[in-house]
Amino acid sequence: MSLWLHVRGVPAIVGAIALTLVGLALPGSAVAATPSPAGATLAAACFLALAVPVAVGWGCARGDPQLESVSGRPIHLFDLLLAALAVGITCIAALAMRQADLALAGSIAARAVLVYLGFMLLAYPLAGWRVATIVPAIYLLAVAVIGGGEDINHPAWWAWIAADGGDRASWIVTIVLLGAGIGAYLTVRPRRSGLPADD
Amino acid sequence: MIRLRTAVRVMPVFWFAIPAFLFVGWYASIEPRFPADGYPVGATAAGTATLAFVGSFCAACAAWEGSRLRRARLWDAPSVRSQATIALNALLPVVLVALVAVLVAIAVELVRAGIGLPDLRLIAMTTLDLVAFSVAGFAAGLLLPFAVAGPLAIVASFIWLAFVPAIQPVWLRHLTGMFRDCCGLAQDLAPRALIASSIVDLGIIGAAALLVAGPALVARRVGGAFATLAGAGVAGVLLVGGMTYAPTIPRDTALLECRTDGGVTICTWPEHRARAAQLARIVATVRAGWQNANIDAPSLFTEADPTVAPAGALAVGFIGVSYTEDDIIGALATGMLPADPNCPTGATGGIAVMDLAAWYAAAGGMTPDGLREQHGGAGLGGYPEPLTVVDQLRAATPETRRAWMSRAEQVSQACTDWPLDLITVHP
Repeated sequence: MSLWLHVRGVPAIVGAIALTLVGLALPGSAVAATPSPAGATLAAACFLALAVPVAVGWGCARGDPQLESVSGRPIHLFDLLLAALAVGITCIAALAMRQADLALAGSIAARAVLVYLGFMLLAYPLAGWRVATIVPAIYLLAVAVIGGGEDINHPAWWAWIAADGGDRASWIVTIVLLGAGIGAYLTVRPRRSGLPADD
Repeated sequence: MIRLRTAVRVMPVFWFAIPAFLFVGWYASIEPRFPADGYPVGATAAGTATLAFVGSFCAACAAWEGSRLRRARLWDAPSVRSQATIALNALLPVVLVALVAVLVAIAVELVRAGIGLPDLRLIAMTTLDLVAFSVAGFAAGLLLPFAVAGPLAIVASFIWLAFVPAIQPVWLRHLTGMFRDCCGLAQDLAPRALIASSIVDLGIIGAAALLVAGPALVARRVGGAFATLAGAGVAGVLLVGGMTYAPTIPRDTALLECRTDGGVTICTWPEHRARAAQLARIVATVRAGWQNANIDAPSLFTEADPTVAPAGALAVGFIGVSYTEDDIIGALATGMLPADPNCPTGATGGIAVMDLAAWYAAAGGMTPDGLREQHGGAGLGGYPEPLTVVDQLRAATPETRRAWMSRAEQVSQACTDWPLDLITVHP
């Protein structure tokens, strides 16, 4: 277990959580901009929220796929648990900070970390952890570039990450996406490349 | 040099090239700032707005190439070719595909504007931007696992190109190498912005090179990279500090084409050559109308930027090929308005500007429909409607008109409260 924790780089993941929460406490995290005429208005917190899912993806990509495939322990499930814990702690802490008025964009970041994990888990069966981390970044880029809706305050339906933090529909879609991601992760294993781990 | 077949098989930049070209072309076609004047500099700049996401694509693909070399332990292994040659082989296709993507966008904008050749300075700047992004992404791929380098390359380049222009001070955007706020017909690209962005790009390239192939001691590498980047940033800031949001200078007035007819001279840009005769006729009619209405009308009308227009000339911009005669009269009337005052808490005489604009347009011969469309509606805050003021001025004596125009111009410069009767029409 300690070897697994060491390989997954848990201190770095904890550092990413701390960095995210400290960043959310800064006033700049709530600053929103519309970077593209056809894009959605995004809070800086949406970019900040990438740190924890990326750190989790990095940690899980560090494992030796050959060795872990013959492990007696369910490493596959441990990784999912690690991802859920890291993202869950960040999400709950961000929501608590929003409640305490410590982070204006806390609920936006809380939703964003769940969305990013959902996309990563969906991409994992096709691409593995190493490449899965790029999918949330591409989604974020797409929202910023062409995710604009009927006006500056309303994003397109698929760009719910840019919706207001209290938007109920966006939370429902987020939970559905996360559920689909967990389902995909548990049912389909990625093809092993045979290459060494990328650490 | 890597063979094309191999490159297409192993390089993501080729896998996604066609979708990227199609997306960029579509994005350029929905760009709202339609370069309707047929000005190559403006149309090319509008096309380079796609750099905001093409830069991310370029950096991410370069990060992948760096990551391949890192994962295979090739970068640090002994090799016949130099590291610079290896990097060049990996990055040349990335830069070329990304450049073609931006060129597709520029081509779409040029077609929309109905013109042929792009501005080469902006294309050269874009190429240098893409080289900087690709080198930075490549360095990230060599130094970090792809799980981190990939998202970092996408997000960092996007924040640099799309969010920096959204923050204060406004001139920070001139360091990014993306000049989407350039240029109106009377403007040209500012060399200061071009040089500043080039220096920053070279700083990024130098810093990335130091990080991956600098001195053996890590502290020296990081320190050198930081110093290079900071030095380039400071040099850039010194060049563009204090500029407005637009990276522009007045366009060379030697390019203006002037014609004199009946004592009236009108100078237009070559892009308006097809409408020059029509513009001259309208200007002559408007000037005659103004003289009949006792308005002091200049005899020289020019499309030059107001900051370089000759003294006594009226600087106007006839923007858009679809301008109607009323639109042109409206543009001339707007050109006659006094400059906005520099009030600490905002001007208080806006109503006088509205009345003056309506009066100049009406006296210049704008049709009743045009007047209703452009100047109709209720007066603000209990003031009389601009068209009511126009009717009163039409019925007034020349002395009354002159006195009213003088008072209205005075009110338009006000920064504090002023008595209402200053802009009422009375003998």
